[in-house]
Amino acid sequence: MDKKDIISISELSSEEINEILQKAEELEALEREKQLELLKGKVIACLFYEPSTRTRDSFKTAIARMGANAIGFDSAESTSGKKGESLHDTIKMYDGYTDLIVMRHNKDGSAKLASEVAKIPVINAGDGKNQHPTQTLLDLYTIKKIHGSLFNLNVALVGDLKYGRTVHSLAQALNKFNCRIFLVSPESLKIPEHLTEELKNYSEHGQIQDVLDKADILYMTRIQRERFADENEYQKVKNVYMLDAGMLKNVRPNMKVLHPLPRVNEINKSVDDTPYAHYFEQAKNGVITRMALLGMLLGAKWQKTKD
Amino acid sequence: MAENKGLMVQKIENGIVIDHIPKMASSRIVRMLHLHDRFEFYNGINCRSNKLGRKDFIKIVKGDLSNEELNKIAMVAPGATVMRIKGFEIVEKIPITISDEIKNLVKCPNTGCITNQEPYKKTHFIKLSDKPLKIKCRFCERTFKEGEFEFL
Ligand SMILES: [Zn+2]
Repeated sequence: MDKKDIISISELSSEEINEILQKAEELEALEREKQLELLKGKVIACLFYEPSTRTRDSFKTAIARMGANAIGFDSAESTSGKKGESLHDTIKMYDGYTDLIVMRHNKDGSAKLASEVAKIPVINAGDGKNQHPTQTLLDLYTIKKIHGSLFNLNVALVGDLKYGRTVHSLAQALNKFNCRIFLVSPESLKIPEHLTEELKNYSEHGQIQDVLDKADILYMTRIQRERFADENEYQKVKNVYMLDAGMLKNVRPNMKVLHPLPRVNEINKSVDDTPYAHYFEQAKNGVITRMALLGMLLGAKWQKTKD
Repeated sequence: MAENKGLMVQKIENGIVIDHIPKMASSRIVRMLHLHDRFEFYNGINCRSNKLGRKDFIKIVKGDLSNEELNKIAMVAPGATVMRIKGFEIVEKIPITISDEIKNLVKCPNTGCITNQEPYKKTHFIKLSDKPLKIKCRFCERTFKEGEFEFL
């Protein structure tokens, strides 16, 4: 892969995505001590203009496990951004003395701008409503580990498909692998048209039951109360998109349920004890995927050890 | 060129004529191409036109414009006619098309886009299609149609 930065799923080809996932798999098979050597002495800037404990801790863990050091800030309050410094100037500064920038920012396109200003690699850890590519890559890594390949799978995306940037990027990515995509959402939270225009093979549904026996992956998302003007409407929809163990009777044997977490009540606890629950494994994959990206962008080399 | 009959501005001997500019849009072209720093030119504003009702025009005396500059005009005034003049005659009608990449010309309509926050206001759009005109912001990745965006 000859990419300098990881900014958007739309900039990655299926070959590049597969290469990243392959390197992540090889890295996971490597001994801890060897992982610790890979980025020894590197300094990585974690610039979090908006708080996101999960993403930040996942990156910081990845950095620590590769022997590098993290610097930076955890909210806009603690940065010069508040004193009116432009993003351009802040990036220029960190570009001068760190090796890579991980950035989360509330404005769409901020990561792209940072990557154009910086000579060092930039990883987008979420830019406003636009992209969150490392979440998508960890989702893909999880799916590939389950099914062996990303090509031609049946994937159901369920819940808030309108505002969820996670499902937007995931749909874009799965499309590159010719997946059959089932979009399951209430009428008011349907996926935006500019996204369906891109998709090659999809259908839209109002009920989870429509797709349960066809899916290889059931990707659940949160439906947030704030998205509804009418409380009654929310209460109605909330219960329609709730999954419990009883619904999983006729699913494909290797079907897995994923969720970007934290969940509210979309997935009943009864699902946790079924062989289909896979969301906690999914969350764990975030660290290894981010380690692989850090290593690849910084030119570290590793190979699969015998297993 | 029946509609030019009533023009009060003299014909130019050599140079470039940009005609059929939507009314009041010529000042944007003047600013965008820094014409006032570079050339002597006549600028008709809100003139009568058979074709448009009202129109603007610009006649650049003895000057020339690059293809890149002419294509910027296409973005601001899609229906404009551009002619090269030599010895008082039209020697060439220059077709203008919107470039594939549009830099620092259009303001991103997405209020959440970083280009609306940064003090430098640098923008960069990719043209997706001509008819209908669709452009995509290289930063926030949103797509916009003609009429949805404004100029910087
Ligand atoms: Zn934009």
